[in-house]
Amino acid sequence: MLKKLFDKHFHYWIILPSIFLLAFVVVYPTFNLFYTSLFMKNGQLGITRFVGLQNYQKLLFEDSKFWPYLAHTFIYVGSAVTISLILGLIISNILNKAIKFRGALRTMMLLPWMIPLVLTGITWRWIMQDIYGAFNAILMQLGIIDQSIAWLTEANSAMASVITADFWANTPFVTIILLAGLQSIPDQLYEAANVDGANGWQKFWHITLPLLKPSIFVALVMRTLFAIRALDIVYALTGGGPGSSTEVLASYIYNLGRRWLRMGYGSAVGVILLLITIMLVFLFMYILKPESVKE
Amino acid sequence: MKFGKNTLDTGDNINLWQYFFLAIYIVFSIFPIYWIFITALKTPSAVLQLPVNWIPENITIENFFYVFQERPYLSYTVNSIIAAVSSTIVCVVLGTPAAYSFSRFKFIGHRFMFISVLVSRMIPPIALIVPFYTMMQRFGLIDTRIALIITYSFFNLPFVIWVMKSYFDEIPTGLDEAARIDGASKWQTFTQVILPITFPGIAASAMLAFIFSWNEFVFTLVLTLTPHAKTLPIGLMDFIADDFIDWARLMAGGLLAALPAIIFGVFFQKYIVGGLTRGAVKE
Repeated sequence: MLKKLFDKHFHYWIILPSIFLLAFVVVYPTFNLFYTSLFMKNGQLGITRFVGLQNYQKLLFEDSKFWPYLAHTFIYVGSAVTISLILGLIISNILNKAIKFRGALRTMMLLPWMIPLVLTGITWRWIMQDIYGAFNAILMQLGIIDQSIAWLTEANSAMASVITADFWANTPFVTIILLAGLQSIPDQLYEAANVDGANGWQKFWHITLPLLKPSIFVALVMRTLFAIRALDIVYALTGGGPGSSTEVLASYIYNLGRRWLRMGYGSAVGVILLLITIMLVFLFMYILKPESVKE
Repeated sequence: MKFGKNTLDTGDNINLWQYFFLAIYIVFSIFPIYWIFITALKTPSAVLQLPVNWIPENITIENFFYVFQERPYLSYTVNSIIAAVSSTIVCVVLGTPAAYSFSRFKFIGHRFMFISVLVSRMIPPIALIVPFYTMMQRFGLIDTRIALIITYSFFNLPFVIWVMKSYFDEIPTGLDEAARIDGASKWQTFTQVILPITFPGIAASAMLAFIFSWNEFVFTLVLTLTPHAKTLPIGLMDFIADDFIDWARLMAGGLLAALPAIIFGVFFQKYIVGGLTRGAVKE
């Protein structure tokens, strides 16, 4: 009897445990985020008071940090994603050719993506260090500079370091996705183009790029999601400094919520970050219109 | 037009510029990893010598003893292993059957539930640190490994479901039907016929889930306070908090934190790449 019931509703029985767990770790916290953002909740003062949309009002119109941090987020995400997409396109096209040691090359290329991002941040902090750092040493031994530069104490070069660490770590992911896309393009198309006398650039522009669009879409979306949420690299590499020149929305949420225990306000920033993420995904869908994305 | 070209590629052979570009990129990719190794093998004083030594003269493994003896790296390592292994097991055991159900059956709520899984992969974890902190505080789970194991399923479970569904989708349904005709129950069909042939998928999603959990930083930073539950990536920040950063020993700790990545990347790259592409490419 029991066995029969199990077999009849089998599809529900095997899916329910996952759905329960997801409700607990995804659905509930997400609702809780929106709910908490309507409160003034301060863990240090021990206050919880309903304030409606006042957190948002304060955030958008009065907070002197929000807009600069948002701008930093866009600079960081925009540059890191663009650079890794371009690099990924070039590298995947090269790796897709008949090249020796492809396996070994892929391993070497993949490693930066696999190590913990916080280690990435720390390692780049060490490389960019002003006195004993490897980057200054390389530049000096090549004779490009004659005294060491404190890269992480100047706003622009600190941001550039953060962006470099980010695309160093995440370009492999883009490359792997694009490489899989390239390998699914049939060889016949290129052979036909060869017969018609197309050159390499024409083939790339008229065959590779259009057919690669779905993969580019996926890489772009995933890559942006990685960058926009990333606290690890900023936290380890610059700690938001110098001043607040590398503070991003992610680090602002962390500081508000965990360090200063301003839970309600931190949640409001979290909601904004969530909405920005959703808008970006829709924007990419609108621009690239990947037909293959159904579900 | 060229003749006698190879059959694998997009039509043109690799040229000198491309080799050059690739070489520079590989050096850029590999140098920081090499630098972690080299720094970890130098003595703390040799790290602070100028000019910088590109190849260390006196190699030492003293730094590894130091992090285990003088710093709580043993606890960090144990916590990392327990949290990552447990979360991986939970998510693979729960997620694989769910993925099979999504792949094979149509039922009320199918589409809604599946879209929920997809959407949950897009929620930035950092946005949810306040709800997670409050939730774990209410259950008294702050600074415990259980909190980490539960929390990691936030990103692991949707990922495992997503990857495994695409593996199941590739297996023809005729196989299930044949088993059913032979009198197997749905459970038997799943466990005895379908599961064994999706082993590469299970291996791939388990390895990636392990790596994601092992590398996790944001939630762990928020939910842990002491060596009782801190993991290796969080432990690395201990050094950064010091007035004077001890780079050689920090990098020894960093190497420990990077070890699973290096092992999986070097020996199981095929599975990692397979899982990664399926986890991302939508059909």
